[in-house]
Amino acid sequence: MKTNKLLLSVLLFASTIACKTEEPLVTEESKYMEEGYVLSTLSQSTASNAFYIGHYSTIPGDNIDMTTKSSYEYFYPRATWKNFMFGQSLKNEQTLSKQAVLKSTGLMTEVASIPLLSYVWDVEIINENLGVYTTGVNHSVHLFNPTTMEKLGDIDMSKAMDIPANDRNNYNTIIYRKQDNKLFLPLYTDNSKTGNFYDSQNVYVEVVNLTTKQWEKTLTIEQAMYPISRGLENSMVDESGNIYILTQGSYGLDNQLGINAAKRSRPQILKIPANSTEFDATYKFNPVDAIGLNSLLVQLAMGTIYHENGIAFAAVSGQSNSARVLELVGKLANGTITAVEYQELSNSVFNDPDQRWVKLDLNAKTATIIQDIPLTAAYAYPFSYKYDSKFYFNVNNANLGLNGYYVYDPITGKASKAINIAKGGVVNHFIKLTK
Amino acid sequence: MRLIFLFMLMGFQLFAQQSVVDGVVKDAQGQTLPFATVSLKNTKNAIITNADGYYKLTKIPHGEHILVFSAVGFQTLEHKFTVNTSSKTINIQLEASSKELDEVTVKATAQAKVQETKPLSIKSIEIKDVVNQTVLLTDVLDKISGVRIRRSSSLGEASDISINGLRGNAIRVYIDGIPMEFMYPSFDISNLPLGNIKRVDVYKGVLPVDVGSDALGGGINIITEQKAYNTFKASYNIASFNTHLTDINLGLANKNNYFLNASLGYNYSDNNYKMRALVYETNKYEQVKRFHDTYRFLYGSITVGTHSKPWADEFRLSLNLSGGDKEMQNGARITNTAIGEAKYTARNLSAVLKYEKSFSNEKILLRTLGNYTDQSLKFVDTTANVYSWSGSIVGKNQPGEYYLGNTINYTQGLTNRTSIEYRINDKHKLLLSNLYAHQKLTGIDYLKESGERDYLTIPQYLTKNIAGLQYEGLFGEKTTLSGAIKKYDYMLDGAENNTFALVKKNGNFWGWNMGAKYNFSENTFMRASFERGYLIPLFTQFVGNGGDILRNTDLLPESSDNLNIGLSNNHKIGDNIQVSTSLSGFYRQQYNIIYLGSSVFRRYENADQVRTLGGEGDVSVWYKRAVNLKANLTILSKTFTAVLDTRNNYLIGTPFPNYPTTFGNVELSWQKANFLSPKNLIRFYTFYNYIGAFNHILVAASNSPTTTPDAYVPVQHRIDLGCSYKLSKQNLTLSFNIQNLLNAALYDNFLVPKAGINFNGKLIYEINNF
Repeated sequence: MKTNKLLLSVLLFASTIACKTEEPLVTEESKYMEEGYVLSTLSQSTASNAFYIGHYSTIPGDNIDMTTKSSYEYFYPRATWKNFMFGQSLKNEQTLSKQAVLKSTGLMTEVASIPLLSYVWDVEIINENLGVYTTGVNHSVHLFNPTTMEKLGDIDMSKAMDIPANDRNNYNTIIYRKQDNKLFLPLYTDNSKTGNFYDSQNVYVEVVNLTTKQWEKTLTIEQAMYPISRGLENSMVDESGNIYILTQGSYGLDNQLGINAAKRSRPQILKIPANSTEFDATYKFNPVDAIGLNSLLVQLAMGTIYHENGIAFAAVSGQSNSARVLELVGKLANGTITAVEYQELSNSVFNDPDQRWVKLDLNAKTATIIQDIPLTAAYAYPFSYKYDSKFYFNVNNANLGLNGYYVYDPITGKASKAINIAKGGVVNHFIKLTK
Repeated sequence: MRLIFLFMLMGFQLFAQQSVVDGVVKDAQGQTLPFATVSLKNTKNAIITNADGYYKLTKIPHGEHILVFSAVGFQTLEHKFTVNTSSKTINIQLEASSKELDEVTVKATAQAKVQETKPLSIKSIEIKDVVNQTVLLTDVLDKISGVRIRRSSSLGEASDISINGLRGNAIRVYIDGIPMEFMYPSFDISNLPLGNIKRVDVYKGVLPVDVGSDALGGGINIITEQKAYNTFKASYNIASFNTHLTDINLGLANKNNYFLNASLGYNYSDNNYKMRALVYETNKYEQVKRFHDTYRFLYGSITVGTHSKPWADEFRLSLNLSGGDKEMQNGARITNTAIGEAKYTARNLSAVLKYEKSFSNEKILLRTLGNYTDQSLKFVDTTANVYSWSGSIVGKNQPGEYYLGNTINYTQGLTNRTSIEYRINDKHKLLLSNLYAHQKLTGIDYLKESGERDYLTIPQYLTKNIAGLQYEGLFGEKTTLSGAIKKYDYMLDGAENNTFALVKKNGNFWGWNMGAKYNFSENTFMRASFERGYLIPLFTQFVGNGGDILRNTDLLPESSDNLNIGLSNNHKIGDNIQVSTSLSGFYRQQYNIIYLGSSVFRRYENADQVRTLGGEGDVSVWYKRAVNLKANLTILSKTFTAVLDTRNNYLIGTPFPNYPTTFGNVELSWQKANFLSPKNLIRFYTFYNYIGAFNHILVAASNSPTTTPDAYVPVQHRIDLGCSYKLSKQNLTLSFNIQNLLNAALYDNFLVPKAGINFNGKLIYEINNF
């Protein structure tokens, strides 16, 4: 009897434990916002620059007053993973900062950070446990865990391409190709003593194997310059693994101007084919020429974002330059431009609303202007996002009172105004948070 | 015709009847007093008694006068007399100053008090009254209502001065009326040794034409002193963070009114105070010790001169040689890495010539002061090492911790201010003053490679001339009015950054100011002043720095309208209580503010308009001339009124960031004469400073110091404590001060931390008339 009672007790105890383990797990509710949108603007004045940042439960819409939100010293996330943003710290510290929106206050907060020796340049989140970041330190490529914000190690880039005459040799853009688990890192090489932004006539791309965590090789393609997109540096990797890289050219700073300018000095899209770690030397595509504006003295192309089936989008030069710009370009070509005029030229090229958002067919090498979206300024970086199968394109045109985002539906091919800032600076980021 | 009449009038005055006054100065025991100063009040006519206490003043016009007798250790005495004969003898007996000791603050500040009762808003401080509890000149200024000095606790670091809502270059600092940016182009006001400074006048708003130049919102005039009697003074100050400040001053004078002054000083500090910073290795905010902030400064000065000569009331020539070096520890903000190698070195040689002469029985006073400066400033920042706040090298980056450079800049300047004051009569006077300043800038960039053309080697010149005519008159017995017009001229002769082509730029414009004061009674007055002021851009603002800041020769002068209104009262309550109060309001409207733009390429630009509106109050209460309570409070608002970029229109009406809007001080002191021994004086004080929280970036509705503390500099409370003891027989003064007694978190602009509790002790030895 005693034995039975004992067995019964053991069984009861065991069943109790078993029941406990079968109970649903109580997950701790996140203290960070997991839905909604983060919108930011940059405010510049005599006193200082500040970033206004606000959280919205739905897409903010028209007539937005950012001054009702909160301001911070810095906000430039280079990657978003679910409801976390990764970039330089809100206090402009040299850290890789993981940021989120507090549920309790709706304010931005830093969740964790990794100290850096220089400012963060680009971030790519591979999965929950692996991320890659580059910094202003030459040839710096590092691995980290985006969940724990633990630094996992450095990639040895000692065999990577280096141009000693240029004081800057680092990576502004991280491209990840999941098909072979490799990183492609276009080299940004610049000599600060020259007026150019890029000091080479070739483009170099470093290949890093993330499986072995080793540098693998350097790809070179001649007659192309400045491989960045000046937007969010969204990767253009198609479903097969073809990689498309936008290069800026020289903006005419090397006196290569107009229709007879060297091709390297004008925008081009380059291709690294799927299953290959070499450039396709036969693929070079100028999206500005493709919309029939090959006669422009200076061409710009930026803000690329990939859609599907070889379709991508970019903001490219959309109209002829003003007479003043042409005059200044003439002085630049003659070597008689003054520093102040050079500044005026640069400001005009970047700030005048001369850009159009275009649809690119990377296979057919064609570009089509999205007619619903008016001209936009280039320097208010043409950020582009893809949420819920729709695209959001930054539009900044003071003449038309536009300072926000247009939404584009690739199915209908139609675009309309989605967000417009009435107060609080120039529109900046528009980030969707998810669980 | 009028000119001829003026000369005739002057000639008449020159031949007016004159007398000689002589006599002997003795103490209460009948002993003669050598080296006592005897002066004819409100004139430059002064002399020192000889070894027998004898003095003789000549060229005293017939009429009623006041002679002022003063000697160290004796009460100053004013003697009224009338002279109608060719000579007159006046023998005087001076009382020992045992009583003076306990009145030191009340009575000895006479000159400062005179300054403070002028129609323009001035706060004046005699350095000898505050030297015991002061390490730096900026410590003195920071205690004045409406004035905020923002600097880190690092000795040798630059100071940002704000007066009633204006700051930076809008506030000019002058040494004897010469703009400091021409005399010591790279030195900061906090570097100036206290030993040679007599008085500091702080002009809140309008400056008189013989002091001002192109200051917009006020200025600080430092009045130096050259002793015309034998004196020796040495002081040594030891303070926390291995800080040592020493200076020695020797003054020699003879009975023929020739004098020689020599000064030597040395300042040193490790500046290794503790503060909180983000440490790279741990990625945590920790208490760190500053490790690359050493400052050294050596200066020497020699002055020869004479006074009370037929050809000059005062003539002196000074040669000053100074130099120092300063390591850099951080930039304008504290980031997560420190600066570990960048440093700069400065050398300065200057010569100053001063001449003063009165004519026509003191009706016309000519003052001229010329200065030549030759300065070099070397800046080296080439390392690629990255330093953690722990002091360790944690990696490599692009060369240049602050900004990449290895340059030397040479600045040569020639400055002259000449003023002629004409007293029309006892109640009205005219003042004509001209400031000429010419500066040459060259340099070498050692990072240029052979064959590369160096922009810095091109000589560039900036010339300013500011002439002003000012009238001041007393109407009735109660109303004083003043008014001035100013003509500003400038000429820039520089080089274009890209093409290196020579560029010329000229400009001129007019400004004006006026002031009024009304005496309700002997102890109560009201005053108001207004100025349309201009600020000519600085050299670097016009021509850039040859590097990342481009030139902008189209830059317009910044201008402002300044209005000041104040009420002052001084009265006694019974026999024991003396109360001084003042209440002021101020309005500043700034136009075309010059700021460093942040577009693709940086250059100084004219931009927004800002309005400041505020008030300040001051009260000082003396009880039995032993206990003194001083308090002041300033409250202001500073908002945008117009913006250049219409997209920023939303800023209009919003607060201008990084500017304290509420601040004040309270000081309580107690002093006792004849403490332990006759003539000895002991003094204790405690000082409290309050600065309200203020945003250092633009803020929005959801920002507050509690929700987004990183956007604000928090509320600051600082308490100091100190005491001093003067041993008259031994000619010694000892003082000990504790700063930031409660070890509170204090900050500079942009949240740069200041030192916690720190200590300093001072020993001053002074003998006179040996």
